[in-house]
Amino acid sequence: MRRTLLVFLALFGAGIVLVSVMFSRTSQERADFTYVSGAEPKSLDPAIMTGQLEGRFAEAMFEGLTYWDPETLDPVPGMAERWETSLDEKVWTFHLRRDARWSNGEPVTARDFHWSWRRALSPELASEYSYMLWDIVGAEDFNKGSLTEFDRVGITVLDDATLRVTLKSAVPYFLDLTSFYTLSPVHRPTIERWEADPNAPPGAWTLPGRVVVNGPYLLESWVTNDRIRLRRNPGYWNAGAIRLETIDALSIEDNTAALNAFLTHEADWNPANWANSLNDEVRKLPEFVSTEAFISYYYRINNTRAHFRDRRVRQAFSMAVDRTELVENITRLGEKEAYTYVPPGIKGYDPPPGLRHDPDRARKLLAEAGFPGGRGFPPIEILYNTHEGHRQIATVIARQLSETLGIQVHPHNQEWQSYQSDTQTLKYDLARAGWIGDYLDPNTFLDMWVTGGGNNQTGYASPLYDQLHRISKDISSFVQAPEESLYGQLVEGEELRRRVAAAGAVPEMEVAERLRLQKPVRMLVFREMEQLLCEIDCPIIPLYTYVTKNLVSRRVGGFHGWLRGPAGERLPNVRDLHPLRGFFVLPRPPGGA
Amino acid sequence: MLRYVFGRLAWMVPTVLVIIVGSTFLMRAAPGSPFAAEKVADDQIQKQLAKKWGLDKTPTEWLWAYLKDLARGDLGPSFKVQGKTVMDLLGPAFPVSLTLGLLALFVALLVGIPAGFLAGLRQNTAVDYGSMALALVGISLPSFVVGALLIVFFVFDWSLFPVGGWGALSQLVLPAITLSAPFAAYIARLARTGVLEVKHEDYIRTARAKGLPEGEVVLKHMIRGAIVPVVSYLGPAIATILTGGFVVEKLFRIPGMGSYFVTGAINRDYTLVLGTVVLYSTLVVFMNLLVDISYAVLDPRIRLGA
Amino acid sequence: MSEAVDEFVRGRSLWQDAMGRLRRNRLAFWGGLYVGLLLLACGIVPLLVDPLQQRTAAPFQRPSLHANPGTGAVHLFGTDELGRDLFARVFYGGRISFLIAIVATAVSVLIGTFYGSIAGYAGGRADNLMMRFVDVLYGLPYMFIVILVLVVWGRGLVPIFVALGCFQWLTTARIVRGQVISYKHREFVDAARTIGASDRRILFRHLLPNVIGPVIIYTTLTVPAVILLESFLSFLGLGVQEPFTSWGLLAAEGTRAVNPLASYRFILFWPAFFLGSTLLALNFLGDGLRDAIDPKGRRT
Repeated sequence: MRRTLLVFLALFGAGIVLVSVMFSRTSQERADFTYVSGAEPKSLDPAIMTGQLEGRFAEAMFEGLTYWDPETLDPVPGMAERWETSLDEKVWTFHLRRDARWSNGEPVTARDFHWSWRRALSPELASEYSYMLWDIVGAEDFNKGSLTEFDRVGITVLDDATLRVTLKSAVPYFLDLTSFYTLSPVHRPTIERWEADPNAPPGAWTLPGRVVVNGPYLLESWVTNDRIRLRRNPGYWNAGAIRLETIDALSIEDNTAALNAFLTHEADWNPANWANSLNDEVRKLPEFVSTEAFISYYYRINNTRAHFRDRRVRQAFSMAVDRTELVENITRLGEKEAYTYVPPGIKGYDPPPGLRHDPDRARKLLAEAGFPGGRGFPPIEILYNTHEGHRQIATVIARQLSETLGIQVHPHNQEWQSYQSDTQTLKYDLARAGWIGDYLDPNTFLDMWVTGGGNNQTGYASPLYDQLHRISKDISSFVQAPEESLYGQLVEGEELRRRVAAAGAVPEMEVAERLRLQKPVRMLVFREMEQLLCEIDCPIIPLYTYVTKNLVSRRVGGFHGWLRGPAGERLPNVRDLHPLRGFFVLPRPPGGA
Repeated sequence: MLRYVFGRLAWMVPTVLVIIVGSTFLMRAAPGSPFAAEKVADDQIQKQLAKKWGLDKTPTEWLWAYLKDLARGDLGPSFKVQGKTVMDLLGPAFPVSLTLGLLALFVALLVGIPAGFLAGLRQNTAVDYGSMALALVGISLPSFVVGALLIVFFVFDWSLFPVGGWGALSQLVLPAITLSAPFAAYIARLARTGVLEVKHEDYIRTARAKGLPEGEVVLKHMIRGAIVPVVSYLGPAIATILTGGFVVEKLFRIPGMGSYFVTGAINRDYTLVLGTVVLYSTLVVFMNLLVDISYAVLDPRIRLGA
Repeated sequence: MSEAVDEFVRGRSLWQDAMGRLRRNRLAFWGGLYVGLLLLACGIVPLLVDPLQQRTAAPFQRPSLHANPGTGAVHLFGTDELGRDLFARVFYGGRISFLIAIVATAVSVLIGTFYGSIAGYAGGRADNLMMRFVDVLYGLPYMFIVILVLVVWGRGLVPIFVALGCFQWLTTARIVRGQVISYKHREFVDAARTIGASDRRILFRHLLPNVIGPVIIYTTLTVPAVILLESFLSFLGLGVQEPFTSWGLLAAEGTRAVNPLASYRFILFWPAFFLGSTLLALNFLGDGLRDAIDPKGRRT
């Protein structure tokens, strides 16, 4: 009857209206600049985060004493407008600018830095990057809980706008550290307010509408599994220099979707999120930018597991992997095989040879360790975070290891956050990992492997390695009072002794000459550390050195694949750092393009 | 009638309860719970949850505390997504999934019913065989394959639509078509069957004999009887369309509830999974009720409870 | 004399009637033949060509009848991202898809039949309770249970069998219960009881054989649905895991191989083709079986 028809049409109409209303409420207009961020960020708390993708947000939302200039990646004045150091470069005094404000109008003071750095060092927070602050007097002890009075730590508030930092020894790259997000100031009242709320989950203070920032961008919205939107912070002291009103960071974990987002012009920048197998086609695109990178791709070995305790097993694993196959057939962008951990490019540093691909020797070592032909060795898993490229590499390495050593190896994937958790808590056999150098010095790659280091995550604990690390941090003291027993434990102990003697022979007054001769001592100490890391103890398996790969739309500027060096020369951006504050939309040439 | 409605609404509560209880026990039984020692914020999450619902308690006590909060509309914090409560996550995602599902359902009805009717009326002709063959193909291909093919043709070959995401009208088209395809096919088959059943009935022959135009015969007389199989399918269809949405949401990167359920289940994000389950089942049970009511409105013979 | 009479009088059983109708159905016949041949191919092809061998230097080679210069072998369907022969992988995946379909359906039918016959035969309060439970579960989208089960038990083939077996046993249970109820008051059951047959014997020897018809009809709907469901799970990453593969997993890889830059459509096309055509054939077979068993044409 007519009535039935009417009923149906009414239902239909109501449905269509409902659908359109609901839909219009969930839609949004395009941002000025959109980029593929990758997985969902694990945390937006700068004191806790460790990943590169999270770092981009921190650098946009928070600003430390200094920040990296996008064109040169030199640290330039941020919250601090100027600073002085003592003659021995151990005491730094920072003067904060008067117009530095939080996004709620309150001024940013030295007290904010004092409180934030104390928070980053507090044992309860368990920050993985707290060791960035360990050069400060007392910081390491406070972080480890052996020092409880924070007043004894070398961070002093002289007044609201003056902060004094006392270091244990001169650190040449200290201003790079002050640009690093772990040392960002955070807003104390906001954090304390949300932590007092029993119903609020930890990290609740970082959400849009709550977080208070001092950087160029505000956190406007965070739709999980979709995008995070940033908006220009009008209260930022240098707001006039920020040329983008809104930025969208797309949370796409799937490589194909990420590439498609760029190719269909939804995203303006895709940092390395696409399938390796497409590299041959991608490198032909005009939007493709690539340089050598200061980034290492490697596998962690869980040194605490019984079957990995014997170093011969770990060496065997390292020798069983054929890195050439990976680099030529899988990654295919000109990456280089890595037999040691620190990527090339540091002047004056000469790495040891490392362990080459040698299946026969690998088998012999495994047999000597008690697993002849792989018999008795338990089946193991390679943990990696969800990503096509990692999956391919894991599948190939699994095959290489099982074919060469006669053991069972299976790839096992987790999404980013679980993968990070499992790696931190040592719930893996082999785990894929990557490390970007935070500054151009071998220390950034080598200091993470000390016993108990936050980013160690392998259970590797070598007193000799720790000793070498301590020495590398304070070469002048070592040169003045070298530990004789050390030389016998090293591979090139005699050479080290010679260099130390040469440096020690220079009279105190000739400071410049003394410092010049200390450098080779330091570099040799690092070389010895790498020898332990990659040839003798092998707690990790270095695989290859990245090349940077980015797809950047020609509609945007501010992306610097090459940096401007101090003499105006062109240097590759090996750290692959592209702060969001540097981007802008290029004006359309008249007449269309 | 009213009594029936209330009765069914009352049934909703134990149904959803069983689901919650079952899911909780299932998840707690799982190896690798998020309660295993984890660093940093996860430590803090554990402490906070322990305060709130007592992780060290037995599953039953945990459940009881959870249900009490549920009654207040508090779905709890997410275990795995930093700082967000389950409501923060599902709140925006729920209307997205609902929109997609309803839209797909409408498209399926809009395409399937006329197709099925035509096929049934013109039985054993080319129209019949053609549309039924198409329908069979529609239920023989998984929706992500159909979706991928649509993307290949309509996004890459002919740039008519964007490849995914949510926010613009053009992003609705392909996902809605993909999700609706198997349902349209099935509905077409059902509608055809319905027509076949009624078209030889006496009252239809009477109508034709009276000289009524074909359109009136179909729309006024046939429709009531012929639509019955379609309506009775609507109930399971709604449930399936919402879960079929998981796959379409993943393929087209739509921020709906499906991804939360799947990743939540994989990561043992209990509260998130339970939250999704509660929302979904409430919705499904509710929609089933609506369908049953309209069923009874259509066919007085099927007076409820008979 | 008696033999001759027997010959003349021996009528056709319902079963034979059905089979006769089925044989005459062209679509069902070809469908069944296709599935049979596929099963054979899935068994044999992976023995002839290695589906697991990686040739990382030759990924995404196009299908060709000529030997590939890089690998030295013929790749009828091309190679995948790690250089594995797609032809072999498709049939290797077919093994798993068929295995899952058969085992899961068997599990589902077994559970449903068992549950439904006990409920129907017991009657009264037990029946009521059991069917209420079914009603409650009916409201729950099966995907949830399947995913939760998979997550609890981890990945692997056995959890998949169980999880997919949970699927659709509800309807089987309902059907069987209905049938048992309608049959249990018939004379032959009374007769069996009077001669002292135990309940169990009555249930299994007398009631169940009569229930089989509708169950078969329902099974023909289940098998293709299980294959589809497995493909969805694989797409979500919860189904079959490496080194195993299934049509669903291959099709899912196929969806990741399509992008505007390089057209590797064959990676999507071949698994999709086999998946789709098998389901089509199974649907024809199912339609035919249903027509054969219940020729009144009241089918959906």
